[in-house]
Amino acid sequence: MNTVKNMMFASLFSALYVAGTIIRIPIPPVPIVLTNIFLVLGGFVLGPLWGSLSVGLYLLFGTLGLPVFSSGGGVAVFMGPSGGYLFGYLLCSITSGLSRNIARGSFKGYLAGTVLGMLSIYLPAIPWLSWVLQTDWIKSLTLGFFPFIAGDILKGFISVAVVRYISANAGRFILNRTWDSPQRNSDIGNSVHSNG
Amino acid sequence: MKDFEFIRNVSIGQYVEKESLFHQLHPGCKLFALIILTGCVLAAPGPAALGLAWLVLTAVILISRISLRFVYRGILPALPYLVLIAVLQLLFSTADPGDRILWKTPWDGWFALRITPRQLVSILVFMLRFFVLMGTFTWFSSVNTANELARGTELFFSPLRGLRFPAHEASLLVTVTFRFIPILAQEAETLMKAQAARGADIGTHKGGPVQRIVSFFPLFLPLFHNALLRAETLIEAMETKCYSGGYGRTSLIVYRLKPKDILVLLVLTAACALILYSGYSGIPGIPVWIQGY
Repeated sequence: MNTVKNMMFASLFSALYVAGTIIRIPIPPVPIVLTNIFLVLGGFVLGPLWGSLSVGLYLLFGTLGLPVFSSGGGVAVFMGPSGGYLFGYLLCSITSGLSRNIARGSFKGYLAGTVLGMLSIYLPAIPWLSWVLQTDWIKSLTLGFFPFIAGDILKGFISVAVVRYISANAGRFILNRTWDSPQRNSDIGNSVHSNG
Repeated sequence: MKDFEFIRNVSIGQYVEKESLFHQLHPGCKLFALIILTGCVLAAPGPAALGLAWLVLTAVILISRISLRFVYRGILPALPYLVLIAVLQLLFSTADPGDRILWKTPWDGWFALRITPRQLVSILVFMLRFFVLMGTFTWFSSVNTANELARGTELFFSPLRGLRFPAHEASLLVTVTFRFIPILAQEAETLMKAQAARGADIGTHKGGPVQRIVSFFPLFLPLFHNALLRAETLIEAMETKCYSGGYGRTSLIVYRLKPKDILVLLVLTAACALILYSGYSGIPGIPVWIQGY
């Protein structure tokens, strides 16, 4: 694998994570962010190592104080109630990257990777929430998990659909195929027209 | 129409071309100024010190000839989360036994609320800190071109080069990410307008939550695919030009430290030190609660 390629895709994905917090679906009271779709897709495209590196870059921006998280930025966010989700982000891209490596390109593999990736965000998040807020498990689940399930299922569908489309039409991005693919120019047309 | 405008609200990562003292500074010096200001804001103990830090930042922004409106436009999309966090903090932080209670719910147990001055001040500090930090970073990215940012980051990481840390590569990653953010936001905007023009339900506020998320799918897929293609083009360009990492690279513009760089840094450091000193030792004549607990 090519280092320049991995570096640029890692930068692209950390920019996408940031863009995912900027591009919102306006649903009251709290708009839905797209970051976790990008996290799962980042795992699929980059694999566990570079995927977690791109998340690390994104978290670094946040640590420096850039308002890249949906709840702002800075070291304070890590220590706050939503800090666990940020560690979960790291875990999510590792999980989905690993599942890509294990289930090379099969649909079930992507499905499992998406579900596991989405769930693994909550794995550190819920204990963290109950530790920071000093509440019991049930209360922190009602606060930090149940409200997001519906949105996450829909986001999971979107990311499985996207990954299926990409692997069918531009598989070189996901499957580590040879770099110079013959059907480059036709990709651009397909992506815009087939889903209008 | 408001739903279509991402780029207007993303002031971070946008260079503003002006001729000012700060635009002409050495890139490493600008990065150092950023670190000093950020450190000062993070360490400031209370609302008073944060207010002073905000004054310093405003002076810096005005000297850079950047409009304050541009700097603070970026804060709007984060407001709902800020309010949510403030409410969470109010709901879940426990009051100390000795505190004066301003207001409390008439029942005890589940969902009982006690509001103390300490909680209100900590929320105020959180909000102010976010506000000033946001301004600092927007200011920083608006006085740095992409090249200056790369050079600054590289200079910052260069002491680690002895430990085999890839300073040049790290700075490249940071720079490319920074420049990708506004491009992606702009692309999302274009795609939304294009899909809405074809009759997609974007920005119409119709339907339930499920329908709204599904309506985002025609936006999401082209955005993601185009982003991948864009990165691929970038990689091809770099490989065509035989990019091979940092070793032995020279740069066209060589930056040298000038006396005014050092002077600006000294003034900023002195101002921040003064703020922190007065913040921790207390400012006479100002009520204690403004100075922080």
